[in-house]
Amino acid sequence: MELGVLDKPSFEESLRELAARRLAAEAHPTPEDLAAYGAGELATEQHERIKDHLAICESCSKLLLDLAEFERFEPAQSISPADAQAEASWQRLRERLKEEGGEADVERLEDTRADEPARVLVPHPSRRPVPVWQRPAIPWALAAGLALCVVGLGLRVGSLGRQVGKLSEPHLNISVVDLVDVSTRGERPEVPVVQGDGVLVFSPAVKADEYEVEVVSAADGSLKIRPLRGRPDKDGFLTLSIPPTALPAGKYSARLYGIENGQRRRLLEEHPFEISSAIP
Amino acid sequence: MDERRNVWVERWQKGIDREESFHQIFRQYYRLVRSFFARRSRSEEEIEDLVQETFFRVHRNLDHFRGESKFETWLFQVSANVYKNTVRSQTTQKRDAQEVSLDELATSSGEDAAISREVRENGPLDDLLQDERSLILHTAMQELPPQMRRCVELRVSQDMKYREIAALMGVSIDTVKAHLFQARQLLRKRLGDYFAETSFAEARFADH
Repeated sequence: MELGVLDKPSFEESLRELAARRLAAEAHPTPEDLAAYGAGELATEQHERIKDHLAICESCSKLLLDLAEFERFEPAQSISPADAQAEASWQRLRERLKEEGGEADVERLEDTRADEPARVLVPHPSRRPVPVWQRPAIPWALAAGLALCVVGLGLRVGSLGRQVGKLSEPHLNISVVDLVDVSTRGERPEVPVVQGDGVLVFSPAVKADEYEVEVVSAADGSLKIRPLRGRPDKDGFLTLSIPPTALPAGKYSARLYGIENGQRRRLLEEHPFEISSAIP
Repeated sequence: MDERRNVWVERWQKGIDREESFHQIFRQYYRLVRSFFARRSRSEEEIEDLVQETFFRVHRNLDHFRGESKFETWLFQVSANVYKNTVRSQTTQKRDAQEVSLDELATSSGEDAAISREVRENGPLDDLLQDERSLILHTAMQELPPQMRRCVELRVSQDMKYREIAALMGVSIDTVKAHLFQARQLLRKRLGDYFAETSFAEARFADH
């Protein structure tokens, strides 16, 4: 290699272009995967795969370097109150928490219904609030709205009338399960349990022309509810209604696929859930 | 005391003066989280919104934090997911890249694998490799030992410092230096006729 040869391209630029092309066809690991990589908890094959990805992905490399910074961080035990910016931010957060209730919906519902018998509402413990920007005013309005916004999922048609009737009753026995993409949350979710009528609510994080939803057995992966195709409603939700007789008690997995160009199918999300035979 | 434990997190989880406990958690980690977003965002407003959203999610999910990892590791995951959802998805949608879990990658079968093959076979990389020089470069890189290749890629593609490469790859700085030096020798022999001189193995000012 000689310097000053004008017709030779730069090694560095050519390598950068190669890396960019490779990256365009690659999937990024999730933050949870990066944390597991940093902790040395991955199997060798996965560990090597992340290394290969990091070598060409600046975004993930920087995330991993930040993870190291988080883990090195030692919080001060006494903090000067002089950080006005932090305190102003805290006040803003405090207001939001008061307005929206940062804790589980269960607690809020119990608080607001304290004068009613506990059996009136059966909010499932695994039901977590969806992000504010995706959430209609109140959960039960959401449930009723979802029931009305039919998105072409076949199962819904059969149970719709009964379900709307049930939703309009004051005594609810329906499990509305929000299936937020696991990778969008920083915690390990509990497996939701569906009792009685179930409504699975997907909030697809990845946009697609259309979606397909299917349910498989967690035990052997066999198909239990054939793929049903639909589009989200105007609030971005896809719902799948499961009548109590559709599936026996057991463990299942709901899969969300994105459909592109009418046929290309890509697995976007998978959510384990349980059907419980015990109906309170 | 277990070094991984945070007293304010424990007080929160025990239900002891939750508002004050969370206030203390917020004060302890506000600057750390803010710095994380400040490195990635353009406006003050956006940074503050992302910080707010992160602590909102922390507050919402703190009961589910089991202490199996350090709190800071969990906080990182929440922050990174907030970033991914609200910023990165907007800015990187132009690329056909997506984030999937390792399990999903590992278990992708049949159809998914076929799609991946299709991307590889017909994707932009193959277009580039039609060019003889690019193909030679690609081949030469693939012939390097994996760790050496990654060090070169990190150094060249991402302009990483030696210590950053060492941290990312889990090796010593001396190993990184040795890999880069050897790679330069090997690539010079292999690619000297095709590419201009490379300088990636030369230490730069404040490189460490």
